[in-house]
Amino acid sequence: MGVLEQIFNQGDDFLGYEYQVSFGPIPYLDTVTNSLVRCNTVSIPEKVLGTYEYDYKSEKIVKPNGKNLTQKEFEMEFRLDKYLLLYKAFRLWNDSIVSPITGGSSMDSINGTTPFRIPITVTTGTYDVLGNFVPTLHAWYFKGCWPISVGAINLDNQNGEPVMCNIRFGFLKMI
Amino acid sequence: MGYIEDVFQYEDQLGALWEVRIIPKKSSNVDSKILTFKTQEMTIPFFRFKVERQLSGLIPWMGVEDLNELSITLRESVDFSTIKFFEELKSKIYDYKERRFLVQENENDYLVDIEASFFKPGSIEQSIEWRNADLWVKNQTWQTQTIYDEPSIKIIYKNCKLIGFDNLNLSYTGGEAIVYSVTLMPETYEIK
Repeated sequence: MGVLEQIFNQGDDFLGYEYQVSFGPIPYLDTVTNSLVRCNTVSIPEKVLGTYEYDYKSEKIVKPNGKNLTQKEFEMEFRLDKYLLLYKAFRLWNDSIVSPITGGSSMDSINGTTPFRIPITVTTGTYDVLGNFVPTLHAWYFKGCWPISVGAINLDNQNGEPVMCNIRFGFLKMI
Repeated sequence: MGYIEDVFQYEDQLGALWEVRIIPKKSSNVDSKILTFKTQEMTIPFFRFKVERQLSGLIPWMGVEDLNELSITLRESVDFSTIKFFEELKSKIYDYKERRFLVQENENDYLVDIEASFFKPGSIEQSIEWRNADLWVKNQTWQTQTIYDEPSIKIIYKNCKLIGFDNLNLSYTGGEAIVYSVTLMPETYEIK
C-alpha cells in the first residue's frame, strides 16, 4: 500500500463549512428568516484554564489553579437579508437589555429565569447528496446567550457584495 | 527521581476553592444561603499568642491576643437581601430610634456562626459527571445541581457578633455590582 492509500484511509478531514447553527428562538424575529444560511462564520472561543507558578529551588512548575478562564463570549458573522429583518431583530434584542430610548435596563435573572438569554447550538456535520444534514457527532452548546454587540454596518456605493454584520454574544456556559 | 516529583506529591489548597456559610443561631427572615453565593472575599482571623523574651533568654508565653475581626465582602442583591439579613441582626441588638442597646435575653437571637469550607479539586471522573449533567441546555431554567465535592476542611467561627458595615460607595461611573464589607467579631474558632 502506497502513501496515497495510507493518507486516503485516514478518512475525511473536517472542513470549515461543515457546520450549522441553531438558535433558541431569536427574540423579535417573528418573520421566517433562514438564519442558518445567513450565518457566515462562527468563532468558537478557545478553552483556557488558569494556572499558577510554583517555584522550588532551581525549578518552576506550572499548575492548574482550578479556574476556567475561557472568555465568555463568541462572535458570528451574518449575511444580512434584503429587508434587514435579522439585523432589526438583533438590534431590538440588544435594545431590550438596555433601552437606548428610555435608558431603562432589564434584569438578567428573575428568580433564576432569564428574560433575554437564549441557547445557541453549533453542530458539526455535512450534507449528503440528497441534501440531508448528517451530523458528525460534535456540537458546541452555548447556554444563556445574549448579544453584547450588534456590529457596524458598512454601506458603500462602489460595493455590490452582500452586507455583513458581526454579532458578539455573551454566554453563561459553553459545553 | 528529582525533587520535582517530590514537590508534585503534595497538592496545594487552591485560593478559589472555598465557600462561606453564615449560620444564624436563630432562624432569620432572610435565607442566609444567598450570602454564600454573594460572598466575594473574606478575611478570617487566626490565633496569636503573646510572648516576651526575658533577660535569661527564655521566651515564655505571656497570654493570648484577642481574635481579630472577621470581614466578608459581599455583592448586594437586587432586593438588598444581604444587607437586610444583617439589618435584622442589628435590630435585635440596638434600637436606633430609642438610642439604646436592647436587653439581651437570649444571645442566640443575634449571634451567628460562620463556617468557611475548603474544597479540593474532584477527580476527573467527577468532572465528567458534571459535564454530563450540564448537557441539557435547551431549557433556560436553571437546574439545581448536585455538588459532589465534600469540604476537605472546615473552619467554624463560633458566636460571631456583628460589628457593622463599611461605607457603601455608590457611583454612576461604575458598571459593577454594588459591593460592601461587613465585619464581625468571633468568640472562638475550631477547625474540623
